[in-house]
Amino acid sequence: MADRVRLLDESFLSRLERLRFAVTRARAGQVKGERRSTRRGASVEFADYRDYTRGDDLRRVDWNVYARLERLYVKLFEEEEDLAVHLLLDASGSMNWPEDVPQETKFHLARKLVAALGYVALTSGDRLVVSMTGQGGLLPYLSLQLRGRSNTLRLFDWLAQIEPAGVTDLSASLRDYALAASRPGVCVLVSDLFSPHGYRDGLVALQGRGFEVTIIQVLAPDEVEPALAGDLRLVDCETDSPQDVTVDGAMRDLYRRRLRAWQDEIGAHCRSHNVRYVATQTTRRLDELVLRDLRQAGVIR
Amino acid sequence: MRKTFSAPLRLGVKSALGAKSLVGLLTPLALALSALAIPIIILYMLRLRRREARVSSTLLWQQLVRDREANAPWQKLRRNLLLFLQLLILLALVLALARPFITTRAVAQGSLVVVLDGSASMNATDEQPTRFARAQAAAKQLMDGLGSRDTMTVILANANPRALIADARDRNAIARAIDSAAPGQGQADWEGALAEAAAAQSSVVIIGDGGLPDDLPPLPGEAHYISIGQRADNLGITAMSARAAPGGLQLFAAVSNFSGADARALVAISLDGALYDSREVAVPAGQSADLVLDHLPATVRVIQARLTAPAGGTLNDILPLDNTAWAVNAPQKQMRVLVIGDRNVFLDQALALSPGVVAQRAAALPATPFDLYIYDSVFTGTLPSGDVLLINPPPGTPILDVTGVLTQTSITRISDSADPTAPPLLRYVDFGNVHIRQAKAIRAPGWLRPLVQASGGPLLLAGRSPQTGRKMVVLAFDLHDSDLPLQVSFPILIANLLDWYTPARAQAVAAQGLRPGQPLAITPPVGATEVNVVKPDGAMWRAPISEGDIRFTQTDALGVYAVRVLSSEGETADAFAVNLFDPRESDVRPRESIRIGRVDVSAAVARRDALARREFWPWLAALALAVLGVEWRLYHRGTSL
Repeated sequence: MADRVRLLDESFLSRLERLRFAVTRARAGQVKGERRSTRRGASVEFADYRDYTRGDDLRRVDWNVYARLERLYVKLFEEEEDLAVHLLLDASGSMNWPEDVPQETKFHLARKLVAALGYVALTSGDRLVVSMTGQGGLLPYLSLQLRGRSNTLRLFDWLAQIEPAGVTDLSASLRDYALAASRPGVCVLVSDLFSPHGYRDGLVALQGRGFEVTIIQVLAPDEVEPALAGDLRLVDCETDSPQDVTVDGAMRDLYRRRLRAWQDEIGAHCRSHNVRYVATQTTRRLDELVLRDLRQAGVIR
Repeated sequence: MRKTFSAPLRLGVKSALGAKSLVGLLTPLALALSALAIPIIILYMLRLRRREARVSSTLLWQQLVRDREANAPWQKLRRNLLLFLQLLILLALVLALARPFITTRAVAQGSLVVVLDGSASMNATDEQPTRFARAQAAAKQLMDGLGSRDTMTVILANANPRALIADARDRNAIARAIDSAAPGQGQADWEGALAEAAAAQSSVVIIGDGGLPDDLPPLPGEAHYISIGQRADNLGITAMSARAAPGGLQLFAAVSNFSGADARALVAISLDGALYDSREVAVPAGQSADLVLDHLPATVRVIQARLTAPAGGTLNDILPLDNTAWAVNAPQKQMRVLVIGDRNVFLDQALALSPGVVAQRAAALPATPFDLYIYDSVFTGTLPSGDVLLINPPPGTPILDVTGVLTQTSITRISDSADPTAPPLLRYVDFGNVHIRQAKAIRAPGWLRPLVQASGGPLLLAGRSPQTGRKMVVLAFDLHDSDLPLQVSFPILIANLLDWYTPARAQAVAAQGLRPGQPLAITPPVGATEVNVVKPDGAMWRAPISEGDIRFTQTDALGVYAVRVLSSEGETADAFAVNLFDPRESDVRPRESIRIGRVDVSAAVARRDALARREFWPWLAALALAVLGVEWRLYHRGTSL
């Protein structure tokens, strides 16, 4: 309970209410008046109302409600306006860094970020699927499906009890997710991308399914500027695999360059595949991250 | 760093030249320090244990290490290379501490005094081009073996030994000094040369063929000897002289064979430049053969004898220097002697035997002047103006004060014949065995010095009058009153007297000439204005007239020297010869050892294995420093990749 309170504060939440996920592709059902449905002969199911916002198609406004209440509401139908927002949270062991300061770990930021984005999805009436990868074990991911603002607490509680641990094969997890997902939509992956087998195959699978992917990479400051020196045996906190390296100034230089190159490579790959990519660090304030960086990247608006 | 802590370790190592040279260590105990390598290796092994550090992911680090190893595969080797270099530095330093040395072909180490044998035998040609050139080469080899702080002094041992260069470090200057040396043609003054060498307080190396005198004083420092010369084949003329004899001039020559085999040679005799005769001599090995020529014309001035190859054979001779000899036949000026007194058979005989003396007896002074007047037990008239010999002067003789007769005639003092101020009348004269019955008691003026003094008074006086310049000798006893005439000393005494009286022949030279380097005293007669000497090579030496004798010392070259005395009356020409005539030099057999003081120094040879140890630890220290630089560079270059 106490965690939930600290996950996001009230002022931030109020600012989040005004946001919604941005979708670039025309979605089935978003086309004016036309509904494309995957099911033949299915009736149109009325799902929900949504506040009218500027830019919505006027034909979709429920004029009866307007006549009665003099307020504009837009009708949402099951198959159409239902934007599925898939939030994937990397909960592998590497996200639990730095290990000794739980308030500053990547996972901490990632979790808050996912909470914020989840809240955005819930308050804008989208269908939210929150999953976490990692944890090893049999299930590559664990999901929660929610809709509506009333499920906010459920979201927060669910997020609060996750602890990062285990080894992730990110690509495989993404691929599995892509295959199993019922309704592709917007997918936001929050991870550090430290997966030995990469992420590209999973990305291909997601996009093949029709997902619009955004990757938010969270790194800790000492992953960008390592404070290591000397003859070391580095132990991976996720896999416990060792790596012997002698670190000195030159080596650190090399590492920085390698990291930059890696991120540049990810950025280039994402750009060429129409994937939004946001790289951030745990030192970034969450409100700035969401309200500025993600907006700038076109993830939300 | 002279002390060694343990016996030096020697390893026989074949050097690149193929000859066996020895390399060793002076302090092999220092090798124990190589145990320091163990901590170095342990330290390296310890460093390999790495500190553990947890990171979020080793993904990037793995890639990094892989990239680096792909780019620079020698990085793996780098650690091992550094260890190797550090061990190399340790090895070089430990070896340097062990003070390794290499025995070089040096004869001696440190500062050196090199004495070059400049005696005549070094002109021998058994070493190409001459022994002296070989000695010069050996001296230069010693110079090459000098350390950087060592100095070298080069002394040329000839008749007038002097240092060619002293305490020099500059190799060019030393080489020039060595090149400027030339051997003499006579004996070497070894005592003088070694005295000069001893002053330097360093090791002395004598380069020569031996032939040192036996009685040399010992040297304070180490002495080494390098033997030059291989063969001993030499024939030489070791004696020659000409003397007047009834019937003409008689020439005597001795040819010696210093080789190991019998030899035959032809002796060519030239008189005044014209070949007169040639005789073949057969000289057995190690012996001499004599040659006598009679009836040579008495007017000849210069006689030259030369050894050449016999008919149909060759002359096996490596020292041509002693193959030619000269003799100068100085025309004796006749000495006119007047004897006044009773007939004295002993005196007459002695005078008749003396060459160049024409004796005449008279009862009174004739009108013609004589060179020498001898008064035998009488005196009449006045003293003539020439030189005078008074035997048994009667009372009333001028200048002397004859007071009576003395009978104590035992001799108490004989003047030292080596006294240069006394007339040299007593050379080879033994007055000690003379018995005299009685003598006249004489008191003489101071300028008449008593050469033989008896307990009662002087027996023999001689001197030169300061007023008249007349030479006077007084024999205080009658010849018949003693047994002096019966002894061999008597004709010798007469000969000495006559020599002393002899009118000024400019120089007095023994019949066989001078030795090379021997000085000549020239007594110019009264009235002479200039003396000059023409040497055998044609150069002229002039000397102005000054008080006393003139010394001519440039007698190094063998040959005939012409002496001219110019005076108001004209000029007189004379000549003298300089010959080697030294069996010690003609015997060119190279000695294997020489004796200095009480020590026999054997030939320490560049031929045999060496004595000197040259340490080369500075090179090892420099190597260690260089490797340290390389290792430092490598370490830093490795980390800056």
